[in-house]
Amino acid sequence: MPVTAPTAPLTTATASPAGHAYNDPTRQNWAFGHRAIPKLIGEVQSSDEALQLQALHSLTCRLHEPVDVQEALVAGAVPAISLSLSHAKPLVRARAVEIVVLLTEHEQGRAAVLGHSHVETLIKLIADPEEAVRGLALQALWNVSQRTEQVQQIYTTLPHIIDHLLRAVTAEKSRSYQLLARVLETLHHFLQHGGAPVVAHTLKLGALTTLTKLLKSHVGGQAVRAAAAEDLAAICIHVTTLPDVAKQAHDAGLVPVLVETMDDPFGAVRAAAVQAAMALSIHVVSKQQLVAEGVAEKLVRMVGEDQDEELLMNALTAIASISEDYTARYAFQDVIGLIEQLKAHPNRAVAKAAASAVQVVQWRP
Amino acid sequence: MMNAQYAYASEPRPAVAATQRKAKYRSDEPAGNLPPNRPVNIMYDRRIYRGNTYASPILPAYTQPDALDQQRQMQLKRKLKAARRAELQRRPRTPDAVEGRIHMEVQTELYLEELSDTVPEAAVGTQTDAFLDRAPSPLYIPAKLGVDVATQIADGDLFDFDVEVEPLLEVLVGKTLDQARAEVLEEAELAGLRRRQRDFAARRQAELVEVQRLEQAERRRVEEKERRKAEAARVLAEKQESAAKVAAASFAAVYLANLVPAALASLQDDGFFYNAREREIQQTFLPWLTSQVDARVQRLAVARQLLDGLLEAAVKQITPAAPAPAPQAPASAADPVASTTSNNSMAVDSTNQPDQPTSPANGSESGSAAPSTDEVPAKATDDGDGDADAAAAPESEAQPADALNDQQGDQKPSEGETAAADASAEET
Repeated sequence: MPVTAPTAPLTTATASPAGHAYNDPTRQNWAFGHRAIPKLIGEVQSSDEALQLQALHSLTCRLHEPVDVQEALVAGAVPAISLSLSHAKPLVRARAVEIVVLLTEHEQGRAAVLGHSHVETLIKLIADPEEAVRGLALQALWNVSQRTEQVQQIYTTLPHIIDHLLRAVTAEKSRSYQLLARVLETLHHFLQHGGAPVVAHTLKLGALTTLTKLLKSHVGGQAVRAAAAEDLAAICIHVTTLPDVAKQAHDAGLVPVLVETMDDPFGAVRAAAVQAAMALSIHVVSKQQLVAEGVAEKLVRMVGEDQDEELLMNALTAIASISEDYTARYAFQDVIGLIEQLKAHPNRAVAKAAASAVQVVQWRP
Repeated sequence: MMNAQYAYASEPRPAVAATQRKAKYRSDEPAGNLPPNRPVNIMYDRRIYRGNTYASPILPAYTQPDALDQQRQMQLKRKLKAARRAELQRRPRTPDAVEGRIHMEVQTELYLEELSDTVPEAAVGTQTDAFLDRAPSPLYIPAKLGVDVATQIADGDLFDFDVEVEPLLEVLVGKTLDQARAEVLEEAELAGLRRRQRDFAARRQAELVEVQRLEQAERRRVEEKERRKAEAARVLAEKQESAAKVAAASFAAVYLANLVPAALASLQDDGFFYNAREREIQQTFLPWLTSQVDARVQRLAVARQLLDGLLEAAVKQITPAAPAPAPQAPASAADPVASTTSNNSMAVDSTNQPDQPTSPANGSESGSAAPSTDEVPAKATDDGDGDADAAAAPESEAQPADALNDQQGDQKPSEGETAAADASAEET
């Protein structure tokens, strides 16, 4: 998955210069020293919109320092921006959401945002008409969903977040691929940390079919395809616990799509597709489908040519799983020497996967 | 109170003696050991003039110049001049000036002063007032320190924007660069964190898949083992059942091999297989026949008795002293079969039929009854077989034809019996 860089502050090109607070020197209020953050937080709650916007912008410049973040949290920044998140002006909303993004880049900020129930507002902002606001809201949700406890806390109180995210997937397909990738990455967090309940919820909404179609249609760049494949992998990991996974995978034709995606020119996409196939191959029927679709050849080529460690690890693990089928075992006999060499790989995970693959490929009844 | 209303710029301090003034250099003694500053009575200060100020002062003797001192001063001056002359001679002199130029002495000291031998003098007459106060002391002006610099203010000398703005720009640019650097570092740190998280998630995913694969393999093995165990148990149960069936079948075959004949024989012995005609004959016809025969025999016996009686009477009438006839031999010794059949038939009618002699005319019909007639007297009285046989013996010897008839009659029952037996055998 590509690294998601924090969003740059919203450019002021969209706002009219005449009415902008920064272009009015008579309204500049300097804030510096130890009184800066509390002063700015006080101004955020001001009734003067220009002052409010200026304070929000100043805070976005200051909150890159962890010390300032801590001071802002102590000064009550989280409850102070509640009204700004629901402001009528998109620029104010964007600045307020950017402050939430900056706060949630730290663990204490995440705890404060979750404790103050800003997540519900962020969920509504996913469907904001302003693209910058949507992007920042998704970034904030991505930040607060990095741990299992946080995801479970959010899903327990707001289970409809899954519905909104899947709706956003469909909506962003026709609007912005960058936001589409971010939606998929946020959804991946919930699928990864939410466990079987969240996956079952997404299956009920037809997420597997939606994601398969998305992957098949080659919509968006490598980021979108890689994120979609990773979401599918997070769903397919529950193939043994949720019987609907295998059924829906078969109905949606996931296996041929995954095998085709393994030829993608981008390594991240291939790695994600192999990861999904690796998870799906635990199921016996899906394993046989994969073998019938010719996944063995793709894996043999990956092991021989690719150097990406994550891709190698996933490919070797998939080989170990698929080799439980006897026809696949025969196919992998030709590369047993290459897999033996990978047992001495400096990456311990790759070496361990190679050892496991050799053990399974060489197994005889 | 005064201090509360008025504040001094510098508070007045009491005069201190000269010996107690602040020393030029610090003392090594601690401050506690220094003698305290005691104020001095200004009336005894030498600096303050005492006495009247309206008369001309008479200088004291010590103010007059001393001749000896003057002389010493003159000598000192001469010595100084000589030393200066010697020094001038010792020092290299300045070379003569170039032609057309002259040397001039120029003051190079810091402070220029007018060099002149003539001391300007001016006679000024003063007439001080009688009660004129002493002139105030001149204001103390400290010696000038520092360096005098002369400058020429040119355009731009007082304020140069490029120079003045430089520190501001440095601060602004520095702050901006610092913040940008902090943001870049933050992004790099976050990128590193994300990368580590991704790697960890990928490793975790791979390990989870491996664990699931092993779990599923173990589950399949366990299920296969259970299936094979169930299959083996089922096969074993079927084998046991088959063996039990075979054993049961063989045992049943052995057991049942003689069962039917034994059952048939038992039934036959119990009389369940019977010929209906024979049974009818035996149960209905023969008893009737026997009863009829008995009745006929009884009638015959009665008739004979009557006849015997008549004959006896007649004989008595004719011959009153005739001997009694010899008793007959027992019939059971000659015809045991007949006796048994007669016993059987007589057992049915023993209570109702008295002893009756046999009749040769009814040999065929009463074949079975002949022995019975012979046995009738014995059976009727129920005195035992011996008595009946003894009673029936003379009658059988007297009637060999009866015996023959009895034999024939015996054969018939035997034939009838054999026929009945054959019929029963055929039925079975």
